[in-house]
Amino acid sequence: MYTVKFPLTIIGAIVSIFLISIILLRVPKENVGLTSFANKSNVLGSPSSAERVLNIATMTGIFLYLAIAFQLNLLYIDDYILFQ
Amino acid sequence: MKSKNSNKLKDILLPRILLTIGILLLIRTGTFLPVPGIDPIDLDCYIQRTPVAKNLISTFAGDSAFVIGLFTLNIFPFVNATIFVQLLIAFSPRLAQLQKEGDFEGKRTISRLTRNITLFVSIAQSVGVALYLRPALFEWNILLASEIVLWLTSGAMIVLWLSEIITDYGLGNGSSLLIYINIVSNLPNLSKKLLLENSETSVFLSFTSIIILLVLGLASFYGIVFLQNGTLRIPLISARQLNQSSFQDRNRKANYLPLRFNQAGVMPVILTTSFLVVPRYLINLGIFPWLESLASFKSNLFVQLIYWIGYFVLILAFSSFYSSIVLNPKDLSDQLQKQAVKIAGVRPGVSTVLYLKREIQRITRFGAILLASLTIIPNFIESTYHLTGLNGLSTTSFLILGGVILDLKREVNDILLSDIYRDLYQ
Repeated sequence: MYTVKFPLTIIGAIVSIFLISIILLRVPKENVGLTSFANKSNVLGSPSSAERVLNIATMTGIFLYLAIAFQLNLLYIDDYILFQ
Repeated sequence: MKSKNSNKLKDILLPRILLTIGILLLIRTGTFLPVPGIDPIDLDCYIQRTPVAKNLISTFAGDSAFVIGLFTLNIFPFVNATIFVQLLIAFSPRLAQLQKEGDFEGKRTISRLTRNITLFVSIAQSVGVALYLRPALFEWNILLASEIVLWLTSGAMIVLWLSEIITDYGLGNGSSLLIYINIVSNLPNLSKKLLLENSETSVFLSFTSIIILLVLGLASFYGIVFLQNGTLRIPLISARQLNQSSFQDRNRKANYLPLRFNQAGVMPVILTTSFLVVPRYLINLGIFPWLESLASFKSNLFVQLIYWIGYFVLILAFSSFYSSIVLNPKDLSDQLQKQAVKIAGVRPGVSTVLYLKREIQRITRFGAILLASLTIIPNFIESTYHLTGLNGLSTTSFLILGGVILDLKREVNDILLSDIYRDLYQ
């Protein structure tokens, strides 16, 4: 279990750093205020292909992040039960 | 018309609603998915042993098991960063100029600055959580602390991204919706606390308490809707209207400038609360011992009265300050002049500036008094009718709840209306 936990933790760290960088790169649309819907996508125009790729990459990263966290929690449960 | 509306619902609104609900569910799931490496049994034992931590956790999470989840920091680093940037804009001429120019590059710079500050605040809060867990976890070490910081920081940035996706592709403003969900999810615990602390012999509240709470709730919601939606309409006349030949054509479309009663939103309440927390913080540090003796008179009605008056005055002061940042009479007057529009009965230029200044001060004063009154109602009820546990149902929460619902309603109306106009021209 130890041999799986350590590389999974490293992958989790890499995915986290990747997500932080990619999210910082994104420039949100101009926010004209809470009540404005004019700047929402798909009402007056579709997102560009670059933005679409960035969104897909981020979403994939998020699912990887959650899956790794879930798997690590399952691996750690054995340790918690063992040490009690 | 009915089939057109149902098409609009299916094509435009339904995907947005589903996307928004899906993202909110994802965020709630992430909030309860534990950070790997934190032993929940050690954490639970520590919370049970430490009364301060136990009271704090029970306020937010109830008596159920407390989990430090991946999205524990939620949208709050972004909210703190936004407040910080707003204060920076108020005090920095360079940033104020960037915001005033309104061009794409200026807004992009401010947006980038906000995101960078969000990252720093997330890191700072994550480090705080990691250090707080040191006495709680048996296997605490620097590596585990770094892991906790990385998981929590990336969790906060993910929540920020997801809130932006809601704003762009979903329904409503993402960050406001997340705060709304946090408040609503806390309501069952607050109701339980209210019932348990105030019921005398049975599980049910007394009839008087129920009436008082209902009246409080209705009065607060009515006041908040009035504050959020209420506007002072200043009639405007454009050059085009003046060129109309007939009197009826001139007066057909009544243009007006809407000035809201509450320009500042929840900011005055947040700033006042932050300001008034300072004495308690100083008492805890033990720097001013005389403050502690004053605090021990907490039950004294005179001290409470001083506190309420201070609270009232601070909200009035912060409302005026914030309104002057949000709405500048000189800028308004210049914009009206550029569009060849004037206020009915007022000369353009200096007279317009003075008129707008007077009107803005008048409505700000009225809005601030109403806001301060709404904020003090729960505290007044608590001390007069001896009902406890009302702190969670604060006016800030009601303002946010009311504001988000009204904005959602407005957005759905706008989308439906835009489709009507598109259909008319096709």
